[in-house]
Amino acid sequence: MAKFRIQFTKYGDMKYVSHLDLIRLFTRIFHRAQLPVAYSEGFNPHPKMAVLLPLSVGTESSCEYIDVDFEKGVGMLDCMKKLKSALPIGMEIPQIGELNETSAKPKEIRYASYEIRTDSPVTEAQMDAFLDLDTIEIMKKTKRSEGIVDIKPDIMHMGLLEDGGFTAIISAGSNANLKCEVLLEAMKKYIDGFAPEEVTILRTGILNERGEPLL
Amino acid sequence: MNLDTILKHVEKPSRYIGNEYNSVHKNPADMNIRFGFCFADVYEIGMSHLGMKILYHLLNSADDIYCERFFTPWVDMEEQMRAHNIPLFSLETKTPAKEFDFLGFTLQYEMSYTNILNMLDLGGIPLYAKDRTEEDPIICAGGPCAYNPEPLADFVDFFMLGEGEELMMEVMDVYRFFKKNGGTKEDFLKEAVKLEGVYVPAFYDVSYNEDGTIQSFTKNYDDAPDRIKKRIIRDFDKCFAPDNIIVPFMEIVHDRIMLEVFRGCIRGCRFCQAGMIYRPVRERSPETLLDLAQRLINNTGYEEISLSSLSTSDYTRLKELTDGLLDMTEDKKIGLSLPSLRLDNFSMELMQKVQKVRKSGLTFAPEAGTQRLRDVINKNITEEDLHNAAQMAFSGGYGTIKLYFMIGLPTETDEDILGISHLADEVVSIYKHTDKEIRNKNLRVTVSVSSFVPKPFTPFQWVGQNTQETLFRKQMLLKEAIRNRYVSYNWHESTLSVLEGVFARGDRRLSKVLVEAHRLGAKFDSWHEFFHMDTWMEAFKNTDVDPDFYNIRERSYEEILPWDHIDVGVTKKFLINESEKAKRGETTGNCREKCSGCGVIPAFGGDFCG
Repeated sequence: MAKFRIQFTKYGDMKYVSHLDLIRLFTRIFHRAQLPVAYSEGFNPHPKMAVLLPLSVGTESSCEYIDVDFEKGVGMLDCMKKLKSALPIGMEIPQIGELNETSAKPKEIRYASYEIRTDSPVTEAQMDAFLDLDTIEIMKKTKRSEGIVDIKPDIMHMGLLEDGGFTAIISAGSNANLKCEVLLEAMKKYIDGFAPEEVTILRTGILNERGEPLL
Repeated sequence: MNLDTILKHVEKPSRYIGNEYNSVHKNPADMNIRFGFCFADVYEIGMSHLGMKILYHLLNSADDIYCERFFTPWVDMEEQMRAHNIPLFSLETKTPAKEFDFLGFTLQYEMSYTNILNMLDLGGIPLYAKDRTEEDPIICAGGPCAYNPEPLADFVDFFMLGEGEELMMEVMDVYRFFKKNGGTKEDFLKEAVKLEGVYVPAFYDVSYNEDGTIQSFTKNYDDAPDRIKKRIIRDFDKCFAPDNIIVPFMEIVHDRIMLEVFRGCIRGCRFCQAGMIYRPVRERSPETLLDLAQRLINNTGYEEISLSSLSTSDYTRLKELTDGLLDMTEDKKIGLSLPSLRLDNFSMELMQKVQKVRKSGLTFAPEAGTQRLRDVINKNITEEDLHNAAQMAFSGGYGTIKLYFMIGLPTETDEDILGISHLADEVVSIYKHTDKEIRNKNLRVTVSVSSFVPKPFTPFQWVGQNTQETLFRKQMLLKEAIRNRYVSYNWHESTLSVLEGVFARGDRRLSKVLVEAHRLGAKFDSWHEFFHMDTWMEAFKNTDVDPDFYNIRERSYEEILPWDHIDVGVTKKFLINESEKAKRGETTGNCREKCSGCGVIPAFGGDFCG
């Protein structure tokens, strides 16, 4: 039995593959790679694997994680090699780590980092002013209700990129979760003239409380 | 306009991305021929179609041909595309349809015809063949509905009849020559028509009698054949079969490996078009199939494999095949599904092996409620067969039984309809007589009823279809008759079947109805939520076409039928003979019991019908 955490990317059209489809995709990737995934016991056995943090459809990512149990010992390099030939276009495996007791648990996820590029430029002064706000209030809709929430505590860091885009490190995980779409709504509200029509978002990291990646 | 921007506003964007595992990516600039394979329905339906998988990989096996896929954009996508002036594009390279050398439609059901027109329209391509220029792609079509190509004759440049594995590449050879040496589209068609199986509708003229029937069907180009003979693959065991099929990201309707074990059918049910047009029976050997299955499993990672044929139990080496497949799949958590199995001792044992845990439902298709009517349609199942099958199912612990029937069959009386209800009661009583210790605790019998549509190249091609009113009365009669609390009754409105009946046996004059229905907004007609009979009735009215002429009217044997120029191997003489036997309630044995002389052996030579 070997437990691995696999980092994978979703570039290009892979961003349209939904969370549910991703699980089916991985089942087939492991079949193709002839890697023996462990199955749960019971009436309706399912493969033991879990994608750590779901990603919105339409968002690209250079850093997603899936944890998987293999039935028997599999060498890390062997695993990497076998997977490479079984991946669809846009999916890469930058690294694989073996999981043990000291590995970060999925529930330790606190933040995710993003690179956001739009067709509506933001100046450094505008960004600073936005980050200096005491509260950033926005109407947030959930399945059950809608109400005004302050998302200021969910914004850990933001900074401009040389190409005109910007980075954002914001809350993620089961405790608090801020969607990039909500952040963009808030920026539209508070930053004069910020009215993007075309937006591309790339997730670049999934981090724990200390801002360290989970692998 | 950036495609990404509109994909954010549609449901299931992965329908349109085209980079699935095993999809083929080539550099269009290096290609000699670009072929757009079109399926006139949404992605998850089209991607389930085995024929498309075969021809896609076959065409792409040639270095200078690039075959890409087109499906009908779902209504939300169509709206976005029209709003942003995005023309119909291929999945793989997002190339506009207009830039292809060929667009080839596979015709799987009549009710997709408006989607074909809508796709051409979305591609900015004139609907009528006569309106298209040298700049437009050549439009071709094949598949089961191409056996009566006439309702689409005005739109399609050429049809390919029968199995495409050889013919498709022969057509490409002709086109390659034509592309190298120059010439018009018509030059190409004049050359392609010399290939057996190619039908160019423009090379034939039709005239009509005063009563609307066909007076004559004559060719206007000397080299066109008088009758167009379908193509078959003689050595099916050696036939091309892709081992690297595309694995979609989204769940499609048949999301599994389909292993085609044989073509054709020995049964000869008189209502069944597939049973006639796909003759003769040709099997693949278990060795070929097991080797293919292994490669498909390795190359796709699919978790399920299904046998595909018209009647799995008729495969002569089924035990060898299933034993081999079970060896291959069991420890890999790969499921094996065996549709269209006849229930006997062997299949029961097989199902126990295959479905170790799940005891899902079983399906029988008696098709008609009385022995008399089953004899008429040559569905050679007796009451005793059903009795035994039900007993076996209940003793095996199955509790859910589905029974499939048709109503509106020729010679049908109310007694036949009520017979359906009796048969369901009978099944319930067999359950009650089964030992309580071994039978399932729950019983559910579902009676599912569809409306019969007479099809070309069947012994029932001359009969009048029941009117919508008659079908409705029969549906209600059965509804009243089913009183058993264990039996549930499934039926749906017959309007779609009635319209299907028009186009199944239609002629060239229906093209204007299709154009009008398309203009009035008809699309996705096989989808309940988009089908509006009112729109169609308006289209018939506006074009002055009487639908009853096509579906309700009984034809005489002497009448020239719109599809008489198509030769499927099965002769008209045989069909007339079968039609007469049906009227007398006489059955015809299956092809292995005794050759019924359908005409396929003389048509294709050799001894095929094993």
